Amino acid sequence: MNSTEKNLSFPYPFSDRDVYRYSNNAIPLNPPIAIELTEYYLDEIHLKRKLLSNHPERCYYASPFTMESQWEVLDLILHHLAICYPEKFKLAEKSNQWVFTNLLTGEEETFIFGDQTTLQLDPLDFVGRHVQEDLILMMQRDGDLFLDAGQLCFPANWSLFFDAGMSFKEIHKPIPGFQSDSLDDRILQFLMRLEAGSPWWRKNWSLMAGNRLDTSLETFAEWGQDRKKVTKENVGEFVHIRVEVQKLFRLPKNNGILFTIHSHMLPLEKFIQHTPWLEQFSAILHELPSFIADYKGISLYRDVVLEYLEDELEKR
Amino acid sequence: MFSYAKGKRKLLFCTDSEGNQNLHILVQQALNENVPFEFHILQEESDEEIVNQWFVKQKMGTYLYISGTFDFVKRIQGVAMKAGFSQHDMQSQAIGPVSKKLVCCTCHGKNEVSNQSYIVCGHCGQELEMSDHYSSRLDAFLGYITIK
Repeated sequence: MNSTEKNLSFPYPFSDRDVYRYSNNAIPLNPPIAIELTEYYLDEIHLKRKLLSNHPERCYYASPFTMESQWEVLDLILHHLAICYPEKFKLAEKSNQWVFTNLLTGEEETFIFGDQTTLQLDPLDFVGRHVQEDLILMMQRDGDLFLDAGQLCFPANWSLFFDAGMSFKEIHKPIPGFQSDSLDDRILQFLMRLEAGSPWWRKNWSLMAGNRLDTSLETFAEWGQDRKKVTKENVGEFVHIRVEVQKLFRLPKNNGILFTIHSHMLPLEKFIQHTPWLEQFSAILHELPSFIADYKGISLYRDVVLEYLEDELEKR
Repeated sequence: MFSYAKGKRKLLFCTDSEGNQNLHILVQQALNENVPFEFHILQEESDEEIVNQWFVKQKMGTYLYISGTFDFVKRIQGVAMKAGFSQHDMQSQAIGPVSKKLVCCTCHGKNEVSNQSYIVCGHCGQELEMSDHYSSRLDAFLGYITIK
């Protein structure tokens, strides 16, 4: 693959409109696969595991009653790995004894499915260490969804520690404009109607100064300052477009929802090599209301990015 | 300020000796609209079991107002939630100084705050900005840091 083709495999986040607003832009997921491997697999797995051992309090949370649903997540993901990437992952099931082999890391794990004592980690924590995605488990009760478990190493400026246990609307309260036209309510209703066997997905985007995947709220003091370091000279390589591919699976046995988040990043200079992307992104960023730019953390350097995009447009 | 909850089956008014003034307009409205209600003035140190008994025997569609000092309101809210009331089934208003907890986004340390917009985290020294993002699991609001 040459470099342009590689960039075109980047999950381009915009629809055909030159205007961006918060919306429920979820569409049916086809093929219905929760995970995707990229060329950065090993780097990201190692980074995840390092974060999990150094900062377990911010990277992992689980209510004790989620254990059965966690086994459902493990079941779903290990099967997807073994089916979609048979040269890289193996899964052998002999009644309840499962043997999972990760040929990329050279690990083999044997356990009794459903028996907590045979696995060193919680099922969600275990399976999350073999995929690039962050994994969030929402449970449904009382006509609402709650974040009852999650393994989150690459959050886009939010805190699993703080949001753990919250309802859908409580989690999204800080997003300005998210309640207008009852958007929060409509998305919640949509999520609660998700059916097993019919997963959905959506893309979310932001810009960031720098290329860290672990932009947790806890480390904002370290990486937030980079927003002030964007200059006309460094903008193309320093500012990255960050896209989250988010997938939603209803878990049939316990009625939970698995929410997987795969974060992708590309420096602006590569992103704009494809002229249609440059044109549309320039229009969208130009029009973007300040309340969204503020929330996405773009405001401090938006003008520098816009100038850069306009200069590049003139060159084409 | 309290607002009158329309269309409820019954209203409960729960107050300490400080807070009952705030409820008079609502009581008048309940009388005008012929909505059944119960009004209790409780002592600050009133027995939680008695309050709990009062709450658990209520039926669906009952709406609760709590008025009093901050500590009183928090305590009664806690009993009500345990008895099955949700945030949507109640309103509360605290009189006098408010004491909230603020969780530091960096170190997760808890700080006591009243009405300040900014504090310095007592655990890690970061300057934190108060937000209205609230966690009932932690019983605390989130303190953000800002870029200077």
